[in-house]
Amino acid sequence: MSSSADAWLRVPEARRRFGVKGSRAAALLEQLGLIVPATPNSWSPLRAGDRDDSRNVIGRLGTTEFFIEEGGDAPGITGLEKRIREGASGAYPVLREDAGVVLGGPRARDVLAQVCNVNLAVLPPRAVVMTLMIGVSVLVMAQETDEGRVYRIWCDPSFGSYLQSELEQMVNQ
Amino acid sequence: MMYRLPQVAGEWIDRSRTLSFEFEGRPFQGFAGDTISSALAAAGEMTLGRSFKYHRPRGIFSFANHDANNLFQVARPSSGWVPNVRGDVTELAAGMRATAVNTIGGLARDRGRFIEWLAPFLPVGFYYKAFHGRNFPRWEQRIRAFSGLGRIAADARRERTPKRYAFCDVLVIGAGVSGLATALSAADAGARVLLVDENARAGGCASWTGAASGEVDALIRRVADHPDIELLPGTYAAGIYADRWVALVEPSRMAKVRAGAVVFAMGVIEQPAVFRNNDLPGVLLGSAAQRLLRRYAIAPGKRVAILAANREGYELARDLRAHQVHVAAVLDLREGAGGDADGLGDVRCVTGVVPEAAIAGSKGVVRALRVRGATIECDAVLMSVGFAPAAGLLSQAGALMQYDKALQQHLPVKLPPGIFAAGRVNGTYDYAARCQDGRDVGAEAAAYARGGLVGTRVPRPETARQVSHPYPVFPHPSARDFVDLDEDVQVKDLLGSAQEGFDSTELMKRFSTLGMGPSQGKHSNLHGARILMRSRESTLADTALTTQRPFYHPVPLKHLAGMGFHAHRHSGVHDRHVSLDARFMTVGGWQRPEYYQASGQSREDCIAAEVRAVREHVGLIDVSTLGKIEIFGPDAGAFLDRIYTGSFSDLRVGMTRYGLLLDESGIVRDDGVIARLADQHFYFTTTTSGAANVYRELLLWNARWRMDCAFVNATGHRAAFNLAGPKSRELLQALTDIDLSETAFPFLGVREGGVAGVEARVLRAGFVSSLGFEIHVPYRSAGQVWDALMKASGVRAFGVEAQRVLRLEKGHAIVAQDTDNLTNPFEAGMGWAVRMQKPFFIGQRSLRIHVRRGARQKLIGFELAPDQVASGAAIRESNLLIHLGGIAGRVTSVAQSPTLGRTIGLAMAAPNLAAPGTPIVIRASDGRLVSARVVRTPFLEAG
Repeated sequence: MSSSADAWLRVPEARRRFGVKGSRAAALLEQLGLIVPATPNSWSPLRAGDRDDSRNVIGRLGTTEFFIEEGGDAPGITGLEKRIREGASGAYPVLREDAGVVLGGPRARDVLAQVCNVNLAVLPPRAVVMTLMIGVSVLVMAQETDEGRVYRIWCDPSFGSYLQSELEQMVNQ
Repeated sequence: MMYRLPQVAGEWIDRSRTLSFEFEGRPFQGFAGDTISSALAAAGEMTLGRSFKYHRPRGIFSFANHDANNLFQVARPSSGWVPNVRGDVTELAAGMRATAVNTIGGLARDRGRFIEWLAPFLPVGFYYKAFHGRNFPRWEQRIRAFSGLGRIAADARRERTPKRYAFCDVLVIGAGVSGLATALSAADAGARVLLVDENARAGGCASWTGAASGEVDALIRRVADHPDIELLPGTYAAGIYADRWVALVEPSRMAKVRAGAVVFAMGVIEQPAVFRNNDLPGVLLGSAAQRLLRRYAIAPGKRVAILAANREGYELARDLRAHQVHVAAVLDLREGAGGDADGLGDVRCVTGVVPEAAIAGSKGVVRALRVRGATIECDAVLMSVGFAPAAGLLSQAGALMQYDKALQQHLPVKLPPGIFAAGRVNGTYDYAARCQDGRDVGAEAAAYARGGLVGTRVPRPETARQVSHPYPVFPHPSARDFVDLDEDVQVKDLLGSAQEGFDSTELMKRFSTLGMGPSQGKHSNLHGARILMRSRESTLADTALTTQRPFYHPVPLKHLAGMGFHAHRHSGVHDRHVSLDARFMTVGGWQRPEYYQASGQSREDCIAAEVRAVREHVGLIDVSTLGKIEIFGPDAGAFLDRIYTGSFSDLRVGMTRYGLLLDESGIVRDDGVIARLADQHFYFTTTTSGAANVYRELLLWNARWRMDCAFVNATGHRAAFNLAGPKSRELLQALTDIDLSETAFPFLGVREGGVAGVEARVLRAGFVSSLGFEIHVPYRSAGQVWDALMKASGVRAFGVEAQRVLRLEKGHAIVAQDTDNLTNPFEAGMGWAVRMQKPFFIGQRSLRIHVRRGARQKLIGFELAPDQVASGAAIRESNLLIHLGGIAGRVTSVAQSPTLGRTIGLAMAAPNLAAPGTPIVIRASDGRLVSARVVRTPFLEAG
């Protein structure tokens, strides 16, 4: 973790990530009892009843693609993988080995303003943004937690060390 | 001579803190808050620089960040030399060492000053005329040696400056009266406002004229207290781009602002009068004198003459007298004007004046001004003859400017949506009118930014008072009547340009260099157009000024470079490569091992050893950088049939096939291996550099075709390794539950199963060796698999360079190295991968045309003749093939093969040289002609 007086950056402990896409992806998620975010480019806690600051989340990327992050044994992801392997038609697996970081603190917006030309400071509560951050395609969502507003950022794992080290530098400035 | 006054109300300096610095090797002192130029002026130092062309002595002229002749080379104790520091606006720091730029041997004894004697031989357009014929190289060297501003320190420390993105509803550029009023009005209407001004403090011209200072101070306080206004002083807008995207340069960084609406309240730029010697130190603009006076308590001289053509000139005189500065005369260019002279006491006021020349004293500083019929003894000449709008950024934003004869000023008459103008740039001069203009514009801008529909506001400037003389240009028969002080352009230069046919503002600019200096014509463009129009007996209304481009002021390169982000990619085993002492190279944004350094061995020996390891035993290379794409769905096979030249809908599950991708003109663009994992599931590779492009093309094509398939780009999410060599099967079998026997897993097969405990996809590969396995695993499991493979006895990691040699020995071409933008598959020997009989594939139609036309080139294999072995090292890629005195092709790949013991390569050659056994000649990089012969590929069949 990197931090200064007013910004911090954490790499969450190992969590599983998985994706599913296709015309039947949403239906499959519902069958498995997982929440399907209602609108494109939005996110939701993974299950009904989960808190808004839950770290188990599902994001809807566009219309028919979904991204899931889940901790522990990841039963949701495990079940989804199993159903797809069994031949659920119209729902295809997306390998997600994303690197992920969490950025928070009062100066988090200043850090983001240095790396991204989307105004993430005014991100609506359940929005997922797919954009570029210092040359790297990222997924970004904001959550209100006990620590205030935090930003969860995911990227292709091959860019992970670059993105993390640059954000750390800015946090530590 | 300038000098420091007693305390002036509102001065910007702190007299309790004295700062010592050096200029031209001599010690000086100034106060905290001084700029470099003001500290020198206070010390009576009038000559601060030398002009660009004639090396004439120059001093303060505008004191508004527009003076190219007050640039200094500056060293601070904490950093090295910095060139082209703008002395008028750069704050003094203790220990600074400054020198003038553009001098040879120092400012006082500048050896370049003698060039002015050669002026008759340096007419307008001299540069272009000199660069002809045999004299060209000599003139270029001399001009280069003489030219340039400042010296770059090669050992300067790299400064990384952050950038930021910023967002606001309304961006107001200019924090003078109208800008302040605009910002308050917009913020009161609910907008988030960003207000910027290039000066260190807000207030605009009120900060140096003192006009309505109490009211302006109140506006500034209201702005500071307003929760919805962010004020950025010392910040200028460098350029405006599409969709109201503005580049702001703050002292320490650049901010890229996206605004809902932009208001330009940048005011006007005072213009000089043009007469002989109007460039002498001590001749300056009236506004410059007032900035020196009110901000830094500096008097422009002990005996001041004012050239006036507006009310501002008389206010200047009153201001100077109020601060006990002696005004010798107010010399009005206008006939019959006199009503503005109230309160000037015994100051001599003359109208209908025609200036002839400023006269220099012994030190090159002005000592008198000669006008028709009189000579005025003075040590300062202040010019207050008119203004030009600071409309450069407005023009960039797309405003249509038109000349208003009554005001003698270009005004914006049509503005693009979301762009507004307020204040003097809008033709509004009096204080109350500027406030009202700001209030009106602020409300409109806020409404626009919030989505309200408004029309394009047409400004309605005040009428009546003339603020600018229509033609303050008084050419002298002996010239030295400067229009552009950056480039030393005189009136005769402009008349000469027009005479030679360069008689539009654009052509005149380029031929004469008017407006091409650091101030970008802020003091010269308008006069240049006036002179041109008068020579054509026309008016300014009949011409446009030259188009303004970014940047409005020069921007330090460090702000443009910023933090220097270079996105790069690491494979999942990058740390393993580091621990093996890999030497890295960048390929398609990835850091890849070029080779692994073995202790005491040269690069060539390391690569050769890696090649031998693969040929004799087993090697392991990280190929994670390959593009990896999956396609699912009922139409997956049919889709691939359309995309690639081969057939894939008939590919058996569990097998792979080479895929060749063309563009619509039949040119080879990419290649890879396509594996069928299930009936409706394909997994295929692309080149490292082509991954993103290929994926994008797939999406684009399917957006048109709308076939029932889905795509996943797994490039970064999967690692891949190639285990190659005769022992590869034996080694891998020990780590996997997949049956790797030849019968169970034939060449070109693909299997899924566990490798080292990780779910993997394994492909039988043959790129570098006859026996090899490409192992694809999830990114996070890469280390586990790599470690397990490397633990096996005899495995050696090999890098990109060894891979290139190995595949060359096998005769395999690399797309974009052995092919180029003109190569079709038949020329590259890849015709076997093309199924022309398919109904359709991308590039098929063009390929038929290529076939009918016949090949223009062929990819051949070659090896050097036995007696040319020593020349092998001199052959490089892109060396030319020479035949009958002409170019007959080029080398695309070449290497010394450790396996074969000779130099081999691939080349694109004329078809008549393609037959095996044909002798060819290669011109090496050192010019030698080296003999080779064409051979069949592969160079190595087995191994």
